[in-house]
Parts: sequence; C-alpha cells; structure tokens
Amino acid sequence: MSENYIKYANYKEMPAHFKPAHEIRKMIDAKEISEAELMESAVRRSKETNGLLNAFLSINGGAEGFSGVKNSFWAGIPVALKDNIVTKGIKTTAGSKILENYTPIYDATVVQKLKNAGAPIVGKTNMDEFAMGSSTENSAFGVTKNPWDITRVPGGSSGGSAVAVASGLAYMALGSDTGGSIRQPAALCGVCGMKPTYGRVSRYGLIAFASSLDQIGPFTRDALDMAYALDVICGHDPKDSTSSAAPAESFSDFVKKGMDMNGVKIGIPDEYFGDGIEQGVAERVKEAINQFEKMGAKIVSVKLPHTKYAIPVYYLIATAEASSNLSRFDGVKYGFRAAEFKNLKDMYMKTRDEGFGAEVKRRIILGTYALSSGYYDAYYKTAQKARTKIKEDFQAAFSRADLILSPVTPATAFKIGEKTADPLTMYMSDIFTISANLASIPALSIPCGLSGGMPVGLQLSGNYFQEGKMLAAAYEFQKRTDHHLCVAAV
Amino acid sequence: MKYEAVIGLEVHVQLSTNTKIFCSCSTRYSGNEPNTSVCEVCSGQPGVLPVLNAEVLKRAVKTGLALNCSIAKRTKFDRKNYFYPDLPKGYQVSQFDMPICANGYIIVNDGLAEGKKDKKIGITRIHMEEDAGKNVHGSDGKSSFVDYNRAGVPLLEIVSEPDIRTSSEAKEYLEKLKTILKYIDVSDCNMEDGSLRCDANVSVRPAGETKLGTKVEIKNMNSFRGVQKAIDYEIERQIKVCESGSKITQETRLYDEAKAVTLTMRKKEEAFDYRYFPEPDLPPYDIAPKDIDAINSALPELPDAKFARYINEMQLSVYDASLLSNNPSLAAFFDECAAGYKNYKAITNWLLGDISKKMNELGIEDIFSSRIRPENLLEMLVLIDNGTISGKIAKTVVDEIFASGEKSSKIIEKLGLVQISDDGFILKIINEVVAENPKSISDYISGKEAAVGFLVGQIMKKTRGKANPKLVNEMLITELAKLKNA
Amino acid sequence: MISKEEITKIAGLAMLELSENEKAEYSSQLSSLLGYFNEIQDLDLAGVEPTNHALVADNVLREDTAVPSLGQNVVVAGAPATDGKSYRVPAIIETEEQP
Repeated sequence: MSENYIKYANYKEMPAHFKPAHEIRKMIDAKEISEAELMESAVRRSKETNGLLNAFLSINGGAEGFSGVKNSFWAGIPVALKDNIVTKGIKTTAGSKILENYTPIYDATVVQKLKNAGAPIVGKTNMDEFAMGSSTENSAFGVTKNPWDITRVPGGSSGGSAVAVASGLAYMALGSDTGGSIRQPAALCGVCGMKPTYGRVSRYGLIAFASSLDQIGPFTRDALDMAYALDVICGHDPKDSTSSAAPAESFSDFVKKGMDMNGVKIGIPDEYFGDGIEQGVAERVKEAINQFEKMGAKIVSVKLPHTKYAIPVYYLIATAEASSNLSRFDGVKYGFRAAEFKNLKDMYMKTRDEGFGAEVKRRIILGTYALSSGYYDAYYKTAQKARTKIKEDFQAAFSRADLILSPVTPATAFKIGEKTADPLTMYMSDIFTISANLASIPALSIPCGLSGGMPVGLQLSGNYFQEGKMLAAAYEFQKRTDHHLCVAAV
Repeated sequence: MKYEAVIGLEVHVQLSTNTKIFCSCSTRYSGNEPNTSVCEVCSGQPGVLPVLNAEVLKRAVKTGLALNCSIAKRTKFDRKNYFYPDLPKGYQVSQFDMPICANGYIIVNDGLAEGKKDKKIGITRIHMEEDAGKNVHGSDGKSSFVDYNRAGVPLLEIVSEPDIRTSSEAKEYLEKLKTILKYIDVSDCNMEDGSLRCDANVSVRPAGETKLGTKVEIKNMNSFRGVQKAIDYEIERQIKVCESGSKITQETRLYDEAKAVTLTMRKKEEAFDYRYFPEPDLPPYDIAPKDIDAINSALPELPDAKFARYINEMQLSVYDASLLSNNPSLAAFFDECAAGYKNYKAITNWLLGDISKKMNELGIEDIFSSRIRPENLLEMLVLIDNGTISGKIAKTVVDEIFASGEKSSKIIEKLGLVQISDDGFILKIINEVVAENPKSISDYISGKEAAVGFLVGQIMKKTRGKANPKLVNEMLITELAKLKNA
Repeated sequence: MISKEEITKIAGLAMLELSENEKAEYSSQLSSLLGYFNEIQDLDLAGVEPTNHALVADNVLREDTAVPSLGQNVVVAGAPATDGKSYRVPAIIETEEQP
C-alpha cells in the first residue's frame, strides 16, 4: 500500500496548491504565478475533489472574485469560508436543511474584511449542522471525508474548511470554534487552526451556535500564514457589542521578528495527560514538549482542577444558548417551511421538525430543558458559576506559565459512523478543546507528527490577547521541525 | 358582600428616539409601506448582533428619575423566549432580574379635585426592551401578514404596584404618567397610535381582606377610556363569578372594544415558560453616578413641582394651576410669558380662555405647533394695559395672531384697531349720539339709568368698537349729568 | 430520568414536533447525559458569581443616528410566503371563546 501522505523537505518542493500563502505572495509579486491562475486552479481542484471529499457545499463559479486590491497580503490568494459565515448573494446553509435555500442579504464583517483585502472566495465549506458536532457527520448535505483516509472523519464542526486547506483547495479557510470546532479538525487533518481570544474577531454575520463561546478563526498551512490571516480578520467591530477594543498589533510582523524561546515558560496541565489518550498521540505531544525544551523553553507543571467539569458545563451553556439562537428558524422569514400544516403552531412544529437534523434537535431539547422553569438554577446557573471556576483555573495557570501545551484530541481521526450512536462518547472527544472557549482564551492547533499514519495536533493556549506570543512560539517550533511539511496525498 | 378591586398596570411606552433600540433603522415609518424600515438586524436574519442605542439608555434613566425611581448601578439585558410571527428572532431582548429602574412612584389626584386626597401609586420597576412587529389579519381569514417596521422600536415597560383600587384611579395614573413622560420628552405617549400601551392586572377580594385574589391580565385596550371600561367590566365579571360561588381562573383576557367585554386569550396552564437568560450578545452597562447626576440636573420642572409653584408663588387658583401644570406645552408657554409679565392671572385667563378655545376650534394640541408665541401674547397684554386696545379688540388680535402669526402691534396697525382715547373726538361722537337720540336722553333725565347702556352701545358702534370704553362711559355720564342739571 | 411526557412538554416549548421514536430516543439519551452532567452539582459554588458574559467590555453603545434601511424588496424576498410586502403566515387566532 502506498503511503497516504507525502512529506516534503521544504516549501520549495511543494506544488503550488500546498505551499503556504506567504510563499504564494512572493510568487505573485515576482510574477511567477498570476492571481487568475491561482483562483482557476483552486476552483478546478475543488470541483474535481468534491465528489470524493465533499469539502464544499458551494463552489464559486471561478470568474469573479478579483478586486484589483493592491498592497494587501491576501490580494488574489484564494480562501474558503465555513458555510455558517454569511455571504451576501451567496447561499449560506450552516449545513442545515432549514437554510437549504437561504441567500443572505448582507456580508459578515470578516467577509467584508476579506473582500477589502482582495481575497477571492473559492467556496463555502461543509460543516456539522449549525456547528453542532465533532465530525462533520451532522451535515444535512453529507459527510466530509478526511483526505488522509477517506474512511475517517475530518473532525468538526469545521471539517470542510480543514479539508480545504489540508487538500490544497484554499490557502486559508475560516471556520468557527465553539468548543474546538477549528482546532480539532485542524489536528485531525494535519493543518494549523486557531481559535482567537473571544472578541478578537467580529461575530457579526456568523450564524450563532452559542454566542458566549463562538469565535471565528483561520485554518492555514503554517503559523506565519495564521498570523497573516489574523491580521486581516481581527479588530474591533462596532456591529458586535462583544468585539474587543484591544489594540491589534501586526501579528505577522511580530512572528517574522522571531522569538527567543529561552526562559519562555510552557505549562503542562497534569489533568490533560491522564488515561484515555491514544499512545501515539501522547508520544507525539511528549516529543513536542521535548522539542520546546530543546529550544530553551522552561517546562512547568500547571493545574486545571476543574477540567472534569468542563464537558457538562460546556454542553449545558452551549445548548441553552443554542436553543434560543435557533428559534429564529421558524419558517416565517427565510429558509425552509414545511409543505403541509394545519395552523400556525403546526407550521412551526413541522418546519422545525423537518428542517433540523437529529443532533440539532437533541441539543435544542437539552438546552430548552436546562433553561426551563424549575431547572434553570440547577443546570444553567450552576454551569455559569462552574464556568467562573474554570476561568479562574486558567488565570492561576497563566500566573505560572506563558503558554499552556496539551494534546488537541485524545485520539486521531475516528472512522465515519463510529461514534454517531452515542452522543456522550462524541461529546467526550472535545475534552481538551472546550475549556479554552469557556475561559474565552485563545488556543491553536499545529501538526506535531503522525500516529498510525494519521496526523496528531498540538495545542498551545495563551492568556487573553496573547495570540502574538502563541503564534511566534508555534512558528519557532515549525522552523525547527517538519510536521507541517507532511500533507495528505489527495 | 362588598368587594374591593386590586389593580396593577403594565404600561409600554415607545421611546421617540431617531433609531431603533439595537440597529440604526429609523423609527419614523408611520404611513410607510410594510417592511420598509427594516434591516438584517431587526428582521432577525441569521448572524446578526444587537448594539444598544445610547439614547435609549439615557431616556430610560431620565424616565426613572422623573418617576422617583432608584437607578441601577449595573444593568443587563435578558432574552425572553417564545414563538410568535411578530417576533423575528424567536426571543425578545428585554430585562429580567436587573432592570434599569426600580422602586418609584407617581402621585395621583394632586388635591386637584375637591374632596380628594393625594395618593401614591408605587412603581415596581421600569425596564428597556424591543418592540415586536405587527401582525395584520388577512381578509380571507386563513392568513396573517407580518410587518417588521415596528420590530426593534425601543420600549420602556413601566410596571405599577397593585396600589390601584378603581378604574378612575387607573385612568388618573395613566394621565399623570403620560403628562410626566411628555414633560421629559421621551415619548409621544399616544395610545391611539400605539406609542403608549397598557395591560391591566385585575383581581377582586372581599372588602377588608388583605390577601390578594386570583389575578387576571387584560390586554388590548386602545384608549384611557377603554382601560377604564375594561377594568369596570372585569371587576363586575369577577364579582359575579365570586358571588356565584365559583373560582376565578388565572388567565389572560383580551378586551373587545366594540362589544366592551373581555374574552379569554389563554389560561394559566398554557402560560408561557419564557426561559429568561442573560443576553450573551450584549455586555452589561454600568451607570455612573455622575451620569445620573447630569441627567437629573437637566430634568425639567415636573408637574407636581410646577403645580405647587403656581399655587404658592404665583397665587393661581387650584383649578388653573392644575390645568396648566397638566399640559406641558401650555405650562411652558405660561412660564415664558410669566418671565416677562407679572400679571399671572391675566396670562392664565387668556391661555385657558380665548387661546385654548381657539386651539380647540383649530384642533391644535400643542400650542407651540400653532402660530402664537409668548412674545405675541406679552405684547398684546402690554397694549391692553396701556390702553392701546381694549380687551374686546384683543380677541380679534388673538384670532389674527393664530391666522398670520404677526406681531400684535402690527396687527393693530394693519386692521386699524388702535383704541380711541382722544377725548375731543369722543366728545364729538357723544354730542352726535345725544343729538340723534332725544328719546333716550329724556328717558335718562326721567330716571331710567338703563338708557346709558344703549347710548354707550351707539357710541361704540359709531367708532367700530375702537373707542376706549372706560373713557366713553366717564365722559357720557359727565355730559348726561350736564343735560340733567341744565 | 426524563420522561417522554417531559420531553413532549420541552419539545412544545422549543416548537419541535417529535415522532414517538424521537421522544423515546431523546428521553433515554438526555437522561444519561444529565445523569453525567449532574457531576456539577457536587461543586461548592457558594459565593461564586456566574459568568453571564464572556470576556467583554461593558457599556458598548451606539449613536442615535439613522442609516438607510434595506427595504421591503430585499428583506421580504427570501421568505417562504409573502404577498410581496409582508411575510405571510397561517392565520393568528388570539381568543378562545366567541362572545
């Protein structure tokens, strides 16, 4: 059996579609490749592979998308968007039948920013319905396949975006991360993914799953591209009351300057290295820790004692918020309406029953229950208080460490269909990623090797607004390692 | 058995801001086509987020201060979840456990009507929320049509304590509330066009009982009169139910104005579980004491204070003071005049007399939307005082001010209304009239004093009303006395 | 344990018409999920403030200045049923009893 991946010695060797955007930028500027060729290739490859991978729910016709923007890093470099980010005039479904025919009447703030930067949009990527899932199996439009092994899931919920970058269909893709929906598929597909600090990136135009946890973030080939991606999408948005006014430095300048890792304290949370981690995953993460130590970092132990409560806290808060956020899908204003009904209430109930998939309904029921009279205090309010304890754990840990390092997932990509029967097993796979959302802190995933031929991800978390430091450390790691040069043989 | 009613009112007022509460759509859509003052935010498109209008927060604080409330140091929004076509997001952004204002009161009666005492009606809370759209019922009976122009218009919900005992007290509470809100200029407060809406919670109990009875909520009242009639109907209905030995059902009832009855809308077991929770899309708001102070010091004089000042400092009658203080624009007009003219009684008489009458005739509610200005009235009052025109002529001047808005002096000149006080001229007219009316003169000489009135009338007729009536009277008496003694 | 009846009530609040199979499935799944989630009841949370909002700055406000709206043809166009001006829904009936 031939290998399911190719390991390149350096970026030079890579075909153009796998190269990082910062290499492509140089090629465009040197007139070695044109913007039109890039877009043509991205669209063509996306169409060719979509039958197999199902990464896209819609692919751009190919002709449009050039703005003639100058002096912008992303000008002419094709990008993809998760299909829960609204695009004016381009169908946006959030992976749901209930929005099957929804064409937004406005652009999300991040879309406006990408347009201003001249980045053409290849298409809208597949996802778990309303971002509820960890495998992209909950899409109403079919599962997305992992390019490393098409019998396996790409992770989720931003599976399509992860696959688009992993398969060289887009140089950068945006996803959304509510409990790990960027970092987990990035890890399982061997690319970089980041959930920025809550408020770093405007949520205006992101179809809400859980408003206090959702955050848009990029998938890229490497940490420098990630910095460039963050440069373009972050910043205060007057349309999002929860968007931060924190000054956004140029992340790419910061990363390019390089970072002296000597004395940088990297915290290892004991709670994240217990039983239940696949051996290969544990080994790759251990090797990465050794690598950081070799680079001069100081490895310290930190405690996150409330980790075991993170899953209940997360699922209670996220589903409660979701139950309310998804009320607007009622068959009145847009999207799907049931064909037959007796009266108004019947129209609502049939529309929502037929329009939503099983996992979405399960979470709406759970969230409605957690908010309902008599259970609010025991479930929702208790979860909100426990969330405070989880936040405090991280603040204590960041008083001892600059960054926290951990696995992203307990295991590599699982088989399609393997975990669909039992929601709890599926929910448990989010154990290492959800705390960052609960604590509002930034966290990223970068490739750190393979286990059984499948990619393993390394998670670096930082304190609020420490994305620069995290990206610089990740880039220093990538300068000295070659895990990010290993790509799926699509 | 004698029964007592216990009534609490929930009043919704639309704030007359330029834009909606959470988006920049205009609130001035009256008369426009449906769904024209809408954007992605107020039509509940996927992915949209709210941003609070600063003016809403300011007006909420202003209202709280005017209604004697304490203002929250920290306030937040919550989501109230329910499905209804006029609610674009499937939840209403409202306030649950941290309302912007609490613990206020309104004083009704004000000692205005004889024999009644002031009564304090408590205000439990005031909170900010977004209005819903409008459902219009289709003519075929099968469809309804939804318009989101109103969706997102800022509302204050003002909840009273159950301190109200009668329907007329409820009406007085509403009238006073409306007056105050108009004074502070936060809302148009028009029940007919829906910028003020009122729901009533009504229960009855045997007189002397302290426990509350089962309450019924009444909705859909479209005028203060309607509120009064609906409450009266409901009290009577509940007493009948009690007297028949049945129990009151806790429910929501709709008032049917045409039939003047209340009808069941939904029973308590169907009552909604609104699943309130903190709105994650809107951070909390801290209200700084200095901001409260600034709003407080910019508050206008409110009706209770005005009323007291009119009585105590300006010696107006209780009746006049209450009429003026309950009409914000008339009171403002009065205050402007009073700043430059000390005969307050004269200003009041003109304002509440001829001017109010004229406004009624013309259908004008706000004096400032007419052509008369305080300086017009002031000038006219001075012209009366210095004898340039008579009070009677002044009525013509008022009519002309309403018509043209011109200065009183200009009107007098234009219409030749200057009063004639030239005694030589008046004497000439008196002599003419005396010569023309020998019968009246002989009547007078023979002791019929009434003849004087007739003669004065003749003189005024000859001068087309412009002769100074006081002077005419005096000179005529002198001339007649001469004739009598001759 | 969450009974099927409770699931039916909750589904009513959430406006979801569930099949009998779905009700049975959700009742057992939610029971086991909540059984596990009940772990959080063990925490000592006395005096702990709930995190009602994520990391946010307070007092975010907007000026009261109108901007042009999107307009009828834009907003209503995507609706499943309209008369061209308004959203069309099955008739809304407000009262139960006839006078």
